[in-house]
Amino acid sequence: MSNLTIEQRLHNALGSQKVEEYKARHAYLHAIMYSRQEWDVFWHKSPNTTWAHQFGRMVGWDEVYYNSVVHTDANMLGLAIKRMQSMEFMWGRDFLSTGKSGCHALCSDVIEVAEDGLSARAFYLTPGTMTGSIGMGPGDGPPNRGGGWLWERYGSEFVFVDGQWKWFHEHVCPDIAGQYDVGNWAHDRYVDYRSGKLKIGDLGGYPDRLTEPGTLHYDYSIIQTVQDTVPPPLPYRTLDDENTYSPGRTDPTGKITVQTTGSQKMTWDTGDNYFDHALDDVE
Amino acid sequence: MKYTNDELAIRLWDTEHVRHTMNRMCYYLTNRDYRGCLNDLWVKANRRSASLGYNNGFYVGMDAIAQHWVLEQPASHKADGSAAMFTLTTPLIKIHGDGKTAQYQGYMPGFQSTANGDGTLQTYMTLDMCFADLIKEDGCWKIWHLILMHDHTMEAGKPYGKTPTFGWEDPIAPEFGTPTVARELHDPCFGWEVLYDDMPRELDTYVEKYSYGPDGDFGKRYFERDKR
Repeated sequence: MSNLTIEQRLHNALGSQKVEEYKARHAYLHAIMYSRQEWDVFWHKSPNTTWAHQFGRMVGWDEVYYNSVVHTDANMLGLAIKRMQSMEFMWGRDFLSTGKSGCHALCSDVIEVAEDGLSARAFYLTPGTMTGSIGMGPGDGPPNRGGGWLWERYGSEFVFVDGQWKWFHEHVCPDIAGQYDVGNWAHDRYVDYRSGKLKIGDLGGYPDRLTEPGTLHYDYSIIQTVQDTVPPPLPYRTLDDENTYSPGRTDPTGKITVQTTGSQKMTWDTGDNYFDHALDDVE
Repeated sequence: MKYTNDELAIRLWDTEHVRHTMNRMCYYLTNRDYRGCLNDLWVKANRRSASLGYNNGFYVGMDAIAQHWVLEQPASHKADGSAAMFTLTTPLIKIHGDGKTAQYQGYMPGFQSTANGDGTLQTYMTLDMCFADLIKEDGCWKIWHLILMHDHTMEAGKPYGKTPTFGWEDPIAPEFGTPTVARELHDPCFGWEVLYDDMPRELDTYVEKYSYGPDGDFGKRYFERDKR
């Protein structure tokens, strides 16, 4: 990095701050499930755009947008309508965000901007909260508060295209979740797992379509080893397969890419969402 | 807006300075040193229009803020055995185009432990959101309008999920006092349903309507923000 001009250093430092802004903006928008407001605005629209989670990897702008905006909106609207029909105090409230106030709080960031100034890579940890006053439970249940943790790690990548920084790749890795104020989070998961209430991978959500299904990160179990799924970036020259969280898809134009079998419709057992039964055993 | 390299370098550092100013505020709040916070971090030239907001309204002017924060500070804050910590995470910072003002948003996990003097105490985890307008005075960023929006008070060892949504009084709420401009800025029962409109935005210059002061739109529902 020592050979960079002052202009290049400025560009990279401002890029680093833009990464911080986008990550924070996402954390708040995701908290209120305002999806269009991020994907329409600061995501890069490319066949190589990817979004990965515990359950696998979405590949290509269409699949990422469909799952993250269309499918999510449909689920949230359905839930809100159900609540509005059964709870008078929900009448006239916002469809997507009402009752939610949990945040995947961001900290411990490590950000590197490439020497060529065309990409940035970021690692974050989150002592996230899954809190709310109304909707922390099944959609057809009574309004209830929730005081949960969700500890995750993130690997994120950004590209500088047409004079603007855009989000390109994301890999979300949930490690453990639980009610902050009751029980022993890790042991509770073990007990729930033994009783059949909890599957490993239960913290992953339920996307409608996936090009690359398969567990990419395991949430906590009693036999888990350390996972190094998204290590912090090191200083690097350019985004390539040696420096990425999304191998084979580092070309922002999408012309160079990995061949796949295409987007698959997914089916999930959504009846055992962890947060729906997290308080079942609490007196 | 277009900037020279010198201007870009200043804006770069301004963003860091705003972040550090708000992080310094955590140090003062954690030590319950409100006098120090006001003296060191808050505006001097814009005293009359300074404001401090809670869920139930604004204290306007440095005299009212000092009256509430310093003179009416609960005795329990300074009691032996009491402790607190306030952290700021997830900073979202926008320096306005003219470089004279800035907006800040941060998520604020913390805790409070209050000793009662009889061997009992209450310990709470608190979750808040922090918003601020900052203004440059003599080349230094100062807090001008601050909102400490409170969401959750979770008592240690008790299942918060069993606490009713309605008809429950938050034990921290009495600390908000009686603001000089009473107005509901936030009802935690309904969460962050107006957050999108309240987040820092790209602005060329300070705009009162989008500010975190008493004349701003903060916390209003959509039909209260614009006349159609």
